[in-house]
Amino acid sequence: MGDRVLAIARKETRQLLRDPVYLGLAFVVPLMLLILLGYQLSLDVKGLLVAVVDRDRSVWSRQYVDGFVNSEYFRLVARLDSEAQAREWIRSGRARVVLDIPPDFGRRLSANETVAVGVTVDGSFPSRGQIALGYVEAVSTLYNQQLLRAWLVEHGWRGGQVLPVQMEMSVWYNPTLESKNFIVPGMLVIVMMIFPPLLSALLIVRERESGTILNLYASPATRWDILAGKALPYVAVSFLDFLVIFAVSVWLFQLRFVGSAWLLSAAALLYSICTIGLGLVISALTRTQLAAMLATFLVAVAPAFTFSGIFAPVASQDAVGRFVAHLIPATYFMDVVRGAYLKGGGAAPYAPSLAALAGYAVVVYAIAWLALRKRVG
Amino acid sequence: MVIDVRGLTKTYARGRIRAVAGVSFTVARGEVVGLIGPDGAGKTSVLQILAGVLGADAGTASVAGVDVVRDPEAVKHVIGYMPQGLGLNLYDSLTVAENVEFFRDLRRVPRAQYEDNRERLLRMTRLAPFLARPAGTLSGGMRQKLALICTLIHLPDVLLLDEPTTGVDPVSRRDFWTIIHTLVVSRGVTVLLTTSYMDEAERCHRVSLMHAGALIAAGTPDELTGALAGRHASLEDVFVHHLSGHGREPGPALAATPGEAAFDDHAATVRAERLSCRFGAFTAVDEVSLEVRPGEILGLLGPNGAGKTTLIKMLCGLQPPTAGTAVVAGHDVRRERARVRGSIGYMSQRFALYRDQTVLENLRLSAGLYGLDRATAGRRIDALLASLGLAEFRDRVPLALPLGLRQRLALASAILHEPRVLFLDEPTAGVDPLARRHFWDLVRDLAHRRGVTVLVSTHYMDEAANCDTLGFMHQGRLVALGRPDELTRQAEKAGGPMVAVDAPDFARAFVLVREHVPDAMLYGRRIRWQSDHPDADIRALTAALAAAGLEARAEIQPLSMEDTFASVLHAAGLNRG
Repeated sequence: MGDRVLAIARKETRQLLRDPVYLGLAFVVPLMLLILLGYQLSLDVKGLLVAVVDRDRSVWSRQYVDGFVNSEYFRLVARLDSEAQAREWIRSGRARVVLDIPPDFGRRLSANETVAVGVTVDGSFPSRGQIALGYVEAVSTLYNQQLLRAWLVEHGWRGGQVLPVQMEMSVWYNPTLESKNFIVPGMLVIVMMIFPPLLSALLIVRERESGTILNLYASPATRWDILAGKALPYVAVSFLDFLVIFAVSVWLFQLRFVGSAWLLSAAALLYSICTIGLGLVISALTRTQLAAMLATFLVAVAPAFTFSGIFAPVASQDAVGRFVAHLIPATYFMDVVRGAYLKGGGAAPYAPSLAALAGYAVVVYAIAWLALRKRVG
Repeated sequence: MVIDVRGLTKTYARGRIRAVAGVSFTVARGEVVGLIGPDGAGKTSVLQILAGVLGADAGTASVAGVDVVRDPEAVKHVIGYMPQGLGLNLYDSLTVAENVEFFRDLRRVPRAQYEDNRERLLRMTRLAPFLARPAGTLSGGMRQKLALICTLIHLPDVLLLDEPTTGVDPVSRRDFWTIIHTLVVSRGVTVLLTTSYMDEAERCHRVSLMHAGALIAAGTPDELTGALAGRHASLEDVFVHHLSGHGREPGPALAATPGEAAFDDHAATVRAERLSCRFGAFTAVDEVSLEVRPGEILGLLGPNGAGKTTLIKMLCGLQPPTAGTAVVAGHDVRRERARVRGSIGYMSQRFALYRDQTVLENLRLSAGLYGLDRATAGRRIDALLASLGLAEFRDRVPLALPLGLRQRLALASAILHEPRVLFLDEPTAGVDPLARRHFWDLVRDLAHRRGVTVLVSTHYMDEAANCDTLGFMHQGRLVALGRPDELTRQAEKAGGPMVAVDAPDFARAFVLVREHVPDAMLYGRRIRWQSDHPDADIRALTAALAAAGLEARAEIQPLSMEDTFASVLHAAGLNRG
């Protein structure tokens, strides 16, 4: 049996190596996508553009604004004169937050009265808006604490703590809470679910379109020979993609990697077998290359992007989301990948995920075997 | 019987289309049997069922003792199956050698057998110099020969070949048949092949004519043609005879005019001088010069890829020439493209009308595109529908019409504006013989009665008889131009007439003849070769055959059009396939 598998694998490898489009899709485009998204797709909110309409221009108002100027989360871009101007800055995107300080800000504070500062936030990107509001509130709270302390001192309070409970914070696994440590490994899972299945989804249907499939149908080669022969070179391609992306993530993106590279590699190999198998199922069931590509996006790429937990934990999805998440291999590989990069530890915690990937592989190749008929029409 | 088919039936579209309708036939060991018929006759389905790649709905079929309907996988060890299309089963980015190796490994051919077989096949096909070339860069004929090597590399006992020679140049076609007949004679291989060329029948031991899923006649070529009393019948006559008897609608009633026509010394309506077209390094048309006069039918004969379509497209102003000049209906094809298009009719290779619009709607659209006013359009459409025999189909969509009627509709659409010049690009490819005859009657009528200048391309050699002038095209060049009978006469003068030997034990006789005449070819049971000194050849060989105890009868035959073409290529040193 082996020699026929090798014959088909050799033929596929030659075809791949001589087709610039396939080669590009196999190696160049995945890397480009990773680098582009890895740099651009950041969930960190820093240097929020803030504009101030200071109608008071007192010591008080300057102190308050200084709180923003001194924070790394804000960048003061303008001091404006009118509310109309402020609206224009938000609308054009030159500012994300506008503080409107009323003319009697200093007077009211010195008279121990409350005063309302107008805060306008660009909410067109909800998560960023939310975070911006939180930051504004934090800076304002700090200023309130300053005022409180000054008032207490003025009224004869000596020593002791104004705010006795202090927090001793430590963040595990991603101590700097940088989102690249979270996003780039996620992209590894997604990129490996886009290009390898896309290529393998064309393998059978392409021969069906050109007519060469009849060589295989009319030969004694078994369905397993055909599937294995076509899968082998592309599993290798997918695994190579993994190695390249892994190297780029560690050296170019300077990601923390604390786990076992062997464990991650084993999972990547299993995952590659799954994704190539998924592509072959699609290829066995479609009649045109166009249909195969669309089916790959619907069946492989979209669920992985939506449900595998790249942006939000699987546990926080609704029941349907959690159900779908457990049907796709990306979820299990994501578990191993995030763990290997950030948490480390032995293989034991990941055994269920590895077992799920292996099970998925068995099922997907069984389906491909059933779907591939050595018949025309 | 190596192949035994009984009551085989295959339906598509949930039984609505009967592709194969109760077909029965047998093929004995060492026999070459041809399934002959137009596109859509069901030939491919029969072959695919026998190759175990298509299921059957009823009937039985066995190949080498294996029931292919029940156990299709078991047959795959003994067969060599070559699908339709010029080398479509090859991998274009793989080299010639790599393609052959792939089939070796797929078939697990033992090393010694492989080396030996590969050597022999490469020699016979003369492909050895091209081993390192990617298959995608080969010519159509070479691709087809490579596909044959790949099909034969495991020395199958049964060969199933689907239209192996369609669109192949005459030289490659001869190589092809030489290989087949050598295998039959040396190894007793059994061959079942399909073809839409009627003239290919004489190369088969027996033929079955197939039409609309059914066999309409079967026997040796001589039996079939002999059964039609009277004039010397061709296989096409036999086909037409059977089809007319099968309740087919009669064709348009236009009297055929004799092929001998004298042309005025009018200025030619089509004149090309050293017209060339290059696509990068590839020369599609290479300095072609020709003239066509009003009322003349010029036929361009040549294989796929010879440059026929590109030449026609340049003359229609659809493809700018890279060199040379051409004037069509008084207009330069380079500078007056719009005027050229207004005065010509063009029927492209592929059906270019809307398949989901009725016959009438299609014609009205064409009339609109040519700017005919309503009254004129209506009058002409009615007249054409009547004269082309399309009136009863005016409200049908082309999708539901047979190929022959579709071609007639395409012709109607091309002549609606009464062009002076008509270009027809392979108008009859795949059409059944009866419809083909009707089509040619119409074309001859247009040219000879109405004075339309016609330039038509084809890869059917036997259609040459319909043309006043014939041009042979090969690898972009016009290698011969003249009246059909003149071309044949010249070829006979250059290479001698055809000697044909009929012997009951043709296999042994062939081996013996080849010792004396290496160029001899087997045509079914008949051995043929072109000879400079036919009488001496006949004397020598009948004596040699008699000495070997072989009964034989020799005669001198006229050259067929394919013989003529091959002879012209040979004389031009272009016989390297």
